[in-house]
Amino acid sequence: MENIRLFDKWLTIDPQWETRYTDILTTFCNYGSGENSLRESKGKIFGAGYELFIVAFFIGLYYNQRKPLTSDAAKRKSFGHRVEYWGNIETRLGRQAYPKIRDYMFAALIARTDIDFIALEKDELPLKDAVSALKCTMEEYANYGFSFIQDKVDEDSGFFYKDPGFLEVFLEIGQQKHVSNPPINEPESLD
Amino acid sequence: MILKQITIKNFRLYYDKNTFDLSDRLTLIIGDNNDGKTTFFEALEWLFDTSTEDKNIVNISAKRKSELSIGESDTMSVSIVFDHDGEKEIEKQFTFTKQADRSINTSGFKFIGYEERGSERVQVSGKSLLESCFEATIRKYCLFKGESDLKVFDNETALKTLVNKFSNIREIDKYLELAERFEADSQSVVAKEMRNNKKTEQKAKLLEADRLENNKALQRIRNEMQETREEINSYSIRIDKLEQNQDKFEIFQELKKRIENLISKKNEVARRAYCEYNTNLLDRLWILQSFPQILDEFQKKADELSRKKRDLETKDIERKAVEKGKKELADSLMNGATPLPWYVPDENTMREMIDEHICKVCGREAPEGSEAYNFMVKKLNDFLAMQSKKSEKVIEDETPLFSNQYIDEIRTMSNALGGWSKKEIISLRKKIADELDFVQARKRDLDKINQQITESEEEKTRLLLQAQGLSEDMLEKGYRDYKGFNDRKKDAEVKIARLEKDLEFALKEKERIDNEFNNLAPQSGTTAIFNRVHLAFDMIMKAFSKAKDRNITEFLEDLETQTNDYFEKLNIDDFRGRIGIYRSVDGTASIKLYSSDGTLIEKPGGAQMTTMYMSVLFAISNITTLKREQDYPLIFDAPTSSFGEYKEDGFYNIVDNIDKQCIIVTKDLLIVDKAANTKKIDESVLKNMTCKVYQICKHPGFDDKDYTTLFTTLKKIQ
Repeated sequence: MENIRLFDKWLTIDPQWETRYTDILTTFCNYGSGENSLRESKGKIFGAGYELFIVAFFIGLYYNQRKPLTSDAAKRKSFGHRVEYWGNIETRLGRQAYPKIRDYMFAALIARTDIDFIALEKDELPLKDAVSALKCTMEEYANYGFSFIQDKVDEDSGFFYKDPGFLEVFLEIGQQKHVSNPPINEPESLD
Repeated sequence: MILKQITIKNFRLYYDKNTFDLSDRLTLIIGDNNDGKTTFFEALEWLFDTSTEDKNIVNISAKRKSELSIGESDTMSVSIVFDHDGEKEIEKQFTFTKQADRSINTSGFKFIGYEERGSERVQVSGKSLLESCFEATIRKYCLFKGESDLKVFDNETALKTLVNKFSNIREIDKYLELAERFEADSQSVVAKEMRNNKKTEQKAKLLEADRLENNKALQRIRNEMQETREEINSYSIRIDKLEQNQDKFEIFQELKKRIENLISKKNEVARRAYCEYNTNLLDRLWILQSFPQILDEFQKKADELSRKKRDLETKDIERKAVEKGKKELADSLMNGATPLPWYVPDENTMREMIDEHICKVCGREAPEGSEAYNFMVKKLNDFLAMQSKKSEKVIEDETPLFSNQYIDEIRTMSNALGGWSKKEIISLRKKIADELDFVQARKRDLDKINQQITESEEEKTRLLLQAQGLSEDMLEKGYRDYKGFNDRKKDAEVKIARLEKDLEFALKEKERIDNEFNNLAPQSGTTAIFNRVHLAFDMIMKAFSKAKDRNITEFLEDLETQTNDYFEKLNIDDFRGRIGIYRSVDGTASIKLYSSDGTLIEKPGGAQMTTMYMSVLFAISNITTLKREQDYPLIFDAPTSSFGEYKEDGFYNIVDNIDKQCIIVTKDLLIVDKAANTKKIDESVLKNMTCKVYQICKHPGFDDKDYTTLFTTLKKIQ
C-alpha cells in the first residue's frame, strides 16, 4: 500500500480558533447562518467562516507573528469544515473557487514549522505529530491575525467596510516589507 | 397721476420703514436676486388690489415678526404720495400682534386716502380715491411684472377694450344704437304696411321670409365667426406660450439626452470602477502578493531537505557497497558529489537533451557517444527504472534507509510552485497596483460624470424655473402640442376665410332684400311715407356706423404712429422693423411687426418684442394722458431679461430721455464680483443719466439659513 502524502494528511485537519473572535466572524462572514444562505450573505464581506481564518492566517504569516491559542479547550472552536474543502466555494454569489490557495498555505507551513523531516522520512517521527505541528503553526498565525483584525475593529468599527477593506492590510504589509523577515529561528540544521 | 413717493413698511423683505422718493420721469431700483425687487413690485400690487382685505401674515416681515415680544404689535403698510389734481396719498395697512402661543394675529385693516381740499387735508376712502385717480382699466396698462407680462395685447380683445376705453367710440355707440333701433322699428312698420297692401302683399311676404332667413344666416355667420376667432385666439395664446418656450423645449430635449447619455456612461464606468477588494484576496489569490519571500523560504528548505536526504542515501549506498564489495554501485557516484534526485530533470527534459545532443543544464554540446551523452542516457534509464520500481540500485533484499517520501513530495511541490507559478505570484503585486490604479482612474471619471450629471440636472432645474408654469411633462410633450395647435389654428383660419365670404354674400343678400323692399314700396300714400322715414333712419344708422369705423381707424392709426415713434427711440441703433396695428372685421385688432418691404417678421427677437410692447405701452400712456388730461406712471419689474448688455445700456439712456414717469426695477447695471462678494452699480452708464437711482440689497451679516435675519436695505445712488 502506498504511503499517504503529507499534504493529503494535512488537508484533513479542521483547525481551531478562539471563541472570543466569534463576533468578528459573524460580522464579516456568513458564519453561523449556513454558508450557502444567499439571503443571509447580504452585507457580509466574506462567505464561510474559514475565509476570515485564511485572511487571519496570512496576516500572522506575513507579520511572522504566532500567538498560541488558549489552553482552555472550552474557549476554542473549529469550523467543522476540513481544509480539503476550503476554497471550493459556492459560485452562485459570483465568487470563484480558489483551491490552489491550500498549496501555498501548506508550503508556508512547511517553511515555517520546525519538523524533523529526516526522522519523519525514516518513520521515526509519526506522521500525525508532523501534521499536528503544521496545524499548530497554522492556528497560531491565524490567532495573531484574528487579534490584529479585532484591534482594527476596536479602533474603527468601519475600517474594513471602507475601500479597499481587508486588501488595505495586505497592501500595507507589502509596503512595510514585514514579510521579508526570515523566520526568527534559522531552518533546522540539516547536517 | 404722478407718483412722488412710495413707502413700504414691514412688507416681507422690507423691514421697518423704507421710502423711495421718485422722479417724475425715470426712477431705477437696482438689486440682485433676492434683494427685494419683486417684493417692491408686489407691495404696490398689494396696495392697488381693491378686491380684498388681504391681511395674509406671509407678507409681514419675517424679521419683524421674530423680533416681537408676546403681546407686542406693529403695522405692515404700503403707501403712495402722488399728484393728481393736487397732492394725494393712499395708504393700506393692518396691525399684527404676537400671541402667547407665538403665532401672529392680524387686525385693524385700513385703506385710507388723503386729499387736499382748499388748505385742508381730508381723510377719504383709499379705495375710492384709488379708483378715481388710478382706475383698474388704466392700472392694467401700467404695472408689468417680467417681460411676458408686457404682452397685454396677445389677447385680441385687449386692444378692443383699449379702443373702447380710450377712443371716442363710446360716445358714438350711444347714437349708433339709437339709430339702429329706429331703423329696425321703421322697417318693421314699412313691412307691415306692405303686407297689408294687396298689391305688394305676396312679394312682401316672400321678401319678409328672405329677410328672416338672411337675418338668421347673418346671426349664425357672426356667431360662428366669433366662436372661431375665440378658438384662434385660444390656439394663438397656447402656440405663443409654446413658442416662447420653444428654445427651452429644445434645450430641455438636449439636456434630457445629455443626462441619459451621462447616466449610461456612469453605469458603464461604475461597472469598471467596481472592484471586489476583499474577495479578490481569495478568489484571485491577491492575498499572495507578499508570498514570494515565503515561497523562497519554502523552496530553500525543500532543496536543503532533499539534498540532506540524498546525502544520507549516498552515504548509505557507499556503506553498503563497501560492505558487499559492489564496486559498480560506488562507481555510480560522481566524484563524491550528491546526485540530483532521480526525478530531476524530468523525463521530457532528459529526452529533449538526448535528442538534441546538448546538456541544457550546463549548456555544452553532448555528441552521441560522448561521456556527457552517455550520462544523460543512463540518467534517463534510471528515471524509467525508478518509475517502474526496477532500479538496479534498489537492492530488494535490503531495507531502504528512508521508508517515506515526504521530502520528495515537498521537493515535487516546490518544483510545481516554481517556474510559471512563481512568476505569476511575483507579478501579483504589479497586477494589483495596476488594477487599483485603473479603478481609481475610473472613480475619478465617475466623479467627473457625477459632477456633469449634477450640473446638467441643475441646468434642467434652472430651465424649469425660467419656463415659469411649465412642468417637465409639458416641456416633454410641448412639441407635439405645438404641431397640434398649429394644425387646428390653420383649420380655424380657413374656416374664418370661408365665413367671411359667407358674410359678404349674406350682406349682399341683405342689400338685395332691402333694395327690393324699397322698390316694392308704393310711391305715394302712407306706406311711401313710412318707407321714406325708414330710409332716412337707415342712412342715419349707416352714417353713425361709418363714423364709428373711422374713429376706431383713426385711433389705431394714432396709436400706431406714436408706438412707432417710441419704437424708433428704443431701438435707435438697432434693427427694428415697423409695428402695424391691424383691425379685423369684427372690431378686434392685432399688433404685428413688419419689415420695410411689408413682410411679416414671424418671430421677432426677445428684445425686439419687449421694446415693441413697451412702445405700445408708452403710446397708450400718452393717449391716456391726452384723453384724461392726466399722466400715469409705468412700473416695470425686470422687463429687459432678454436684452444684451449693450442693448440694456442704450435702453436706459433712452427711457431716461422720455418724458414719462417710469419706475423700473431691475438687476441690470449691477456689477457683481463673486470673488469679492461685492455688488456695485455700473456708474459708467449712469453718469449721463438724470434719473433717480436706488440700490436695494440684502443687509449684510445675514445667516444664510435663517430667513428672519434677511432684510433689504435701501441706498440712494443719485
